[in-house]
Amino acid sequence: MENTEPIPQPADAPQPSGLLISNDATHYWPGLRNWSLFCGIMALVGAGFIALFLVLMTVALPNILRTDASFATGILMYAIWFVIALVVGILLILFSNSIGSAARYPHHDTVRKSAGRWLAYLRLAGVISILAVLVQCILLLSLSANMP
Amino acid sequence: MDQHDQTLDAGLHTDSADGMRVASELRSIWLQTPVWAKILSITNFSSAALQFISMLLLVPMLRRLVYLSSSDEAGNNIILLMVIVYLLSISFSLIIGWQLWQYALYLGRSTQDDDTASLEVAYYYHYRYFKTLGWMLISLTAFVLIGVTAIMMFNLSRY
Repeated sequence: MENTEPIPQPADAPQPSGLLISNDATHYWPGLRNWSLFCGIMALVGAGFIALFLVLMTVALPNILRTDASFATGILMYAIWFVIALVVGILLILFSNSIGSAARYPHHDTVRKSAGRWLAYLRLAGVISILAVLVQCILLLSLSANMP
Repeated sequence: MDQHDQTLDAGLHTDSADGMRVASELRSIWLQTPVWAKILSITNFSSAALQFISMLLLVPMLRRLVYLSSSDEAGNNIILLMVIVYLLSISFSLIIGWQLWQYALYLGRSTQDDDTASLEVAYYYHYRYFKTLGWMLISLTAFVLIGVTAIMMFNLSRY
């Protein structure tokens, strides 16, 4: 005899909507995983180069230059870039990991996790890019003011 | 046993041939995503415009410096390389901005209208975004490495 009893669901189970992630859409997930992993590794490599440059600057420069105010500003700028590259790299690798899991095992938890990490990346990249555009504007204004 | 399998399958939220049904938690994340994607897209367009302006300001200054230091062809080649790097960066910024805008547009449409086809297009642009970002990193790294080598060769050739 066929069992027609409703399947028990946990109380906090997410309610499905009418929207579907089609099989065609999931075909992009392995590619997404590979390219986001590559970008994440590149960001980490960039962070490594910045760290190396920071170490060289602090070790190799003569003491007289280290007391300069512009030196401290330069160190601070590079340290900020190092943290940004590191966090972006980690976020991208986490995203590639979760979208890879979603491609292998399409469970709503893995898809939600990947979407959450992508949103975290977008938020961080959005805030950084706004700040970068502002810095570019300031630099351009100072450059045009100092033009002969 | 059958019931146990059905309980496991329910966690997958798959409708076999159609695909996977979107849960409300995922939907709420997707409602916020287009806003940030559009912000990033706009900043990419702004960055492209600012890079273009800075290229227009910097290149004549550098040309004057090369002329004053009476450097030869190598100095002009470095300026040319700088212009190429600027143009590459500007074009990649424009492409990435456009792809993010399209992604935000289609993702927003899919969540508002429960449109599965729009979600497919959104994933396509999501994939294109990362692919373009990857190629931008490859080409800019290559050009910067070429530039550093060219400057080193230029300095060595003077001695």
